[in-house]
Amino acid sequence: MTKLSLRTKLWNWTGFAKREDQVSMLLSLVIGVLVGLTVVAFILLTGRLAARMYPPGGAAWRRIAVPVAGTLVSGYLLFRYFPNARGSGIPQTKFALFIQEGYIGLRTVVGKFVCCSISLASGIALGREGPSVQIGAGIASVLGRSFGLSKANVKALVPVGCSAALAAAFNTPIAAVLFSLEEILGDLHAPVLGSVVLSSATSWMVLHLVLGDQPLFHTPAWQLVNPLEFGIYAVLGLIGGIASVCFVKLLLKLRVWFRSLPASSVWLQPVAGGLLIGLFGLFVPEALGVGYDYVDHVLGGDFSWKIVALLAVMKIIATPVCYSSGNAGGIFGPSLFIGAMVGGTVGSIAHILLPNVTANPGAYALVGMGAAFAGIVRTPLTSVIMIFEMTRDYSIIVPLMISNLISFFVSQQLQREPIYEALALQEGVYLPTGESRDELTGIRVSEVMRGGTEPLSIDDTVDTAKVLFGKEKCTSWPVADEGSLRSMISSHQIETASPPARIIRDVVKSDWRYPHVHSDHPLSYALEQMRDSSVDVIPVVSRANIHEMRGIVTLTGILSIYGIGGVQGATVTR
Amino acid sequence: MSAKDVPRKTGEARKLGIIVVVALVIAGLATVDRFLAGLQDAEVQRTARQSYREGLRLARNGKTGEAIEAFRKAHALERGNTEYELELIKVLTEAGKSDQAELLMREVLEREPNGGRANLLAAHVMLAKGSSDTAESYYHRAIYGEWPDNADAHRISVRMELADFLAARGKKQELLAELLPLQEQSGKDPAAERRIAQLFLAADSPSHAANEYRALIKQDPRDASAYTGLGDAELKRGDYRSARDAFLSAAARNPADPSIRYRVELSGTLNDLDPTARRLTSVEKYRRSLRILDLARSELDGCIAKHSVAASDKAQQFLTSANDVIKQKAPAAITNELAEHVLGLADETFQAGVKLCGTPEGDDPLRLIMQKVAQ
Repeated sequence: MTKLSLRTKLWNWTGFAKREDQVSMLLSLVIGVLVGLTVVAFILLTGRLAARMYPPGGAAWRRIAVPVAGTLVSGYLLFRYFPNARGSGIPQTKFALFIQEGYIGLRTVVGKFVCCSISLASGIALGREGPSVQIGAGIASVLGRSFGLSKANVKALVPVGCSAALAAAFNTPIAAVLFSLEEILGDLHAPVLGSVVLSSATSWMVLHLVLGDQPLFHTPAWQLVNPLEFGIYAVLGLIGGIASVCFVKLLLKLRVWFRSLPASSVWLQPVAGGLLIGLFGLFVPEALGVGYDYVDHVLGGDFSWKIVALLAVMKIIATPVCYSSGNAGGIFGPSLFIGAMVGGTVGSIAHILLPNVTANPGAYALVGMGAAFAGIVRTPLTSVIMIFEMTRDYSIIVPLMISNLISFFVSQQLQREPIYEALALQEGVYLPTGESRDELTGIRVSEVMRGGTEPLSIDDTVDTAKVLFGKEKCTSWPVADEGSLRSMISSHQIETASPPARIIRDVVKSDWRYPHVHSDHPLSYALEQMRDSSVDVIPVVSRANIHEMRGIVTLTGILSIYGIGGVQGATVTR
Repeated sequence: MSAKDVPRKTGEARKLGIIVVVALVIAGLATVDRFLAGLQDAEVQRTARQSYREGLRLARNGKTGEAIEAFRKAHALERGNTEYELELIKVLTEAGKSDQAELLMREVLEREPNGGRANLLAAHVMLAKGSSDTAESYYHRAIYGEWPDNADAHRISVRMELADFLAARGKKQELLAELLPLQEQSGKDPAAERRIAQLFLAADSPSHAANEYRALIKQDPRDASAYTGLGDAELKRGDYRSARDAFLSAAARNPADPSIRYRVELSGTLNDLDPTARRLTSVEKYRRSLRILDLARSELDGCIAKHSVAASDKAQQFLTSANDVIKQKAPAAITNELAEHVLGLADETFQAGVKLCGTPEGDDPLRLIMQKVAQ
């Protein structure tokens, strides 16, 4: 049985812990109101600014000048004052949650609000929802810290802020809750569910009080014309999945390229996105901005499929360029736009070929939105509920599920890492992957981790390693190069080395693919890693930097916590 | 106050300060939001109204495609504005985009199931889609629906439209059922009365039509068309004498109209042929019956010449019998029974011709007379 510290005992005995939970719950309400009002202000301000920048009947040159000027100004502000406000906001929020103990600074919140208002109003092809999520999470974090909550409770407030923000940004309270759990936390059974629901509902009410009761998109009532249509929806799922993969791959590749440019050009890079979207907008004005108005038009079913197909291609190119060049804005909105255009194209072609067995192309545009969202963001459950909430049309659920799942599957097969995890990897951050979500349960690595241990140096002699193996009663140990973890060495490697090795460098090579775990992994995952790598010691590394060793987990330590063998080699803190 | 209390008090004051700041931020944001939302609403409504007016102008000038875009924009900007939606539905229907119009229509009717204009437009949409029965039910809903202003005038107008629709579909019973209340509601509007009278004729109710025309003549005795209508009604009732009088009155008021002259001629012929006229002597009835038989014989003769293969022996027999009767010398004592016998043969000969060549179309005097005789 684990021992509780005196402070913890005292904390529980006095009821402070309980009181802090009550404060957290109350703060969920306040966060709902505050985030709801902030996001509504963000939406309205962006809309008003855009209306000023693009007055009705405005000259064509504006369609180039405004995005270029907007990205120039916001790019400079991001570079000079708000570097953490760059990008979508979702990966940054996840960094804050998994690495920074839920810390998001007020400056980031302000920067995100200001820079996104400028860049989105200027017409770049990014959305407002991702930034809203970061703003919401930031407000929650700032409030939690201001009220002196513990780090754990501040961290718990981050998804609360996210759900409040998304509920207001998309007008989808249920999907907001699901997204916070499915994507941000990666756990649908997270204990913060109550707070997340509360803040989402509160924020949604605020939105309705200020902006009234209108869904984000208006769709005509859908009806299945012929069961054959399910086949066409399946094709739409397939095409939606492929389009999603193209989008994600292009975005990731472009981001790598932009990151390879000189650091001195960072402030200017966003202009590339502004210029491209300006050029597109000059010829096809519908390409400008997130394009929700045009999505509404397409959902109505009255459009030319050639224009819609062109817009899908333009957005698949423009959004990655805008995003990768470092502009502030999200990819939720563009995902929905791309999906609507792909769906509209597929629906129109199907309607031309099979007019008697297909519904209005608008219905396909609607399903396409869900398919693209599921393919790009990889949250199939959220995407189904989100489309349902956006349109309030329950009858579309079945084709939506078919297309979403196919798109999700295709996207998963062709692009292993989901977009946010891949973006995080580019930053050198190892966020919990979808596959490791199940692993984040049970006893954690942190509970048997031995801190204060040092890796062997790559320049140590093999004799030093042998001595260590004997002392620690183990057969493997982490190896570092200039203090940075690089590999693992085992007694088997030393024994089988030919010619016999003198120093460790002769046996092991620097390789980032050495076995490791993070402190929030479950022990079962550590055991699997040991089995797969044939080691009995595994380093515990930082999620922000896998070369930074925090401690080790030994096989004997793991066994001891389950009451097998002795307790040597592990300090049980449970 | 002890030294220990100072940090605690400071901490509480800080928290209180944060609560005040948060409250102020919420109040400030709420004010900003309301202000911005107000600005947005005003701008959106203004732009929507402009687009709507533009749409109306374009629709008036027959630019339906552009009008659709303008109305669509107005509708997209101000959802739930029924005025915009209905205009959009109207132009979509006119442009043949009845599927889109129907989808929008459903939304409007879901919100306003009793809206008079919405139901009327739904009827138009259904007509455009060829769903006549559904259209008829929407017409009824429009009649009994809510109209924000001039409800009575709108209801009369819709009922009139429904009556036209029923007349076009030949639903005479339903048409009569609409015309009777319409007759009461329309008041003294000459145009409406004239239309109602015409529809009464279409509903095979010539006596109601005659009453309407008489009312019109009373209002304006110089109205030649009212006399013509009255003549048509009397013709349909089989009162050829009154019909002829009415047509003559019409011709006196509008002598240049050839259709009136034709009607005078037709009614004169029928009047001369009518064997059922009151106070006819047996001789005269016999004479008219013979003329009718002669007409029937000629028609059957022509028919047999055209369809010699299909002609039955019975038709030939009727033709022979008719020829025999016509060639016969008139008996010395002509009785009513004799005239009836000739008339009976004329009817059989006519029916044989109808069987062979179909009912004669138009204002065929023989057909009209035979119809009256059959009554």
